[in-house]
Amino acid sequence: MSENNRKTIASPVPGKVAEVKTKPGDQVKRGDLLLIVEAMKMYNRVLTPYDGVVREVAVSAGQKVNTSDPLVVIEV
Amino acid sequence: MEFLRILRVMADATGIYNFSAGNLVMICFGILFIYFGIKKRYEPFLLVPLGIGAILVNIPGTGLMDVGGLLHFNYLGVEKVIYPPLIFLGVGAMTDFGPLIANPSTIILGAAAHIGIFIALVGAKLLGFTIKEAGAIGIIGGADGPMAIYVSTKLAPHLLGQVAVSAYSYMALLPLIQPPIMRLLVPRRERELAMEQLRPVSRREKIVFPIMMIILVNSLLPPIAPLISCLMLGNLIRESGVIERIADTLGGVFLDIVTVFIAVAIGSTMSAQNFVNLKTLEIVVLGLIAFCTGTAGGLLAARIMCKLSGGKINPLIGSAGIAAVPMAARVSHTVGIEDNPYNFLIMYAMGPNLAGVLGTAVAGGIMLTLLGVH
Amino acid sequence: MQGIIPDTLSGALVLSAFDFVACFFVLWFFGLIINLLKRLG
Repeated sequence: MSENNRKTIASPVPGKVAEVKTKPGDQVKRGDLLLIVEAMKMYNRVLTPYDGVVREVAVSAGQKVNTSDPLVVIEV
Repeated sequence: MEFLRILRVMADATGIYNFSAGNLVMICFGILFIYFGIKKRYEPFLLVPLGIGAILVNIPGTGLMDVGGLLHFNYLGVEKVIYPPLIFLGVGAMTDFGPLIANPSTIILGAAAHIGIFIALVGAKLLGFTIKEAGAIGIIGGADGPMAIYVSTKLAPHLLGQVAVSAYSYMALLPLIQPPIMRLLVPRRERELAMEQLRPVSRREKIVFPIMMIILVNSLLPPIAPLISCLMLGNLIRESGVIERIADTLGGVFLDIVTVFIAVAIGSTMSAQNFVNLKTLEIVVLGLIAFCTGTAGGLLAARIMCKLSGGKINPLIGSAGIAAVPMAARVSHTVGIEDNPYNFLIMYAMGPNLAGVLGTAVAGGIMLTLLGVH
Repeated sequence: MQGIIPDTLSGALVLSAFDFVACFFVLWFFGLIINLLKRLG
């Protein structure tokens, strides 16, 4: 299995992880909700653009994140 | 009949006996504001105290708004222009100007979205307001509460209530006002555009920015010095990073408290004799026109920038140029995400949004200068 | 100081046009200056 199959979902906004809605091993489809990042008092739904299996969740609820910080790694 | 006379005297002293229909209308508006704040969660920080102010001032006989009354003392904070700079101090302390520094080209949108100010100004003149009144009414379109209060205090203090109430209400109602205009003026294809990532902004840039703006803006436009100085001082306190406790307090607790004071003060201008007249209706309508045309102006300018840049700018961020930080940026983001759930416009929209604050300040400053007010 | 804009409709038009254009210009100028910040790195 090559590294090329692993896609990293990065945080689209600077903010705080409000809720993690996925865990390693989960089967996800394009458009599934991965986690919610709070920024500017808004809850932003981070969706997966890929079908695949969640391999890694790099953050936990309450954690501060910056734009392009890795959130979730998905194996396509 | 002593007893009846006592009753009569008592009745005269109560509020109920002195209520006018106008008072009841205004109290209903007060309740409506509170309803929108609590039930609909439209800017509850503003609308709840605003509604309470409006209710209080329409209960006859309390003397709260007479000289020496509680609300009158509070109102002096507005009349003597104490609260608006304090609000800006707090706003500065909680605002990250990074998105503006990273993408200064979007600053132009902050000017384009202020066409609404001038459309409302000319409209007000056509309706027979004096030019100073028209200027104060126009500034509603700046979608910036403290700036609207500041300018109207200087130009037309007797219209302060109407101007401030319109500005704050429309800012709270932005999520209802802007999206239809945005969907109408920006085709879906352009609404879906994703934008290039903003470059990271260094701490040094963020520290130099407020100092530079204080010198630049204050020497160019002295009439707005109190507001810009406080905004940038607050921002410098934040970005210096060495007095985080003060920055957190200013941008949080302090700002909340002053907002309550200022909102009650504006509410307390909504007495029936002040408000129940045709002028109020005209101002409210002109204010709405200013918001709508400003939104449209920002969107159209952003569409031009989109074309010129070869699709690098999502035109939806244009409407944020109206100011109303951060509500208008949130609206850009929310509308954008409806068409492309992977598109996070919020930080891009903050650029023109912050530029909108500068735009309102500049437009107001020039207006004050031209009208000979200091 | 008395304003130089007369209290007439044409006064309002002149005020609006001038203010709008000047606002554009001033913000554009701010944009240029802010762009210089990049060099600070």
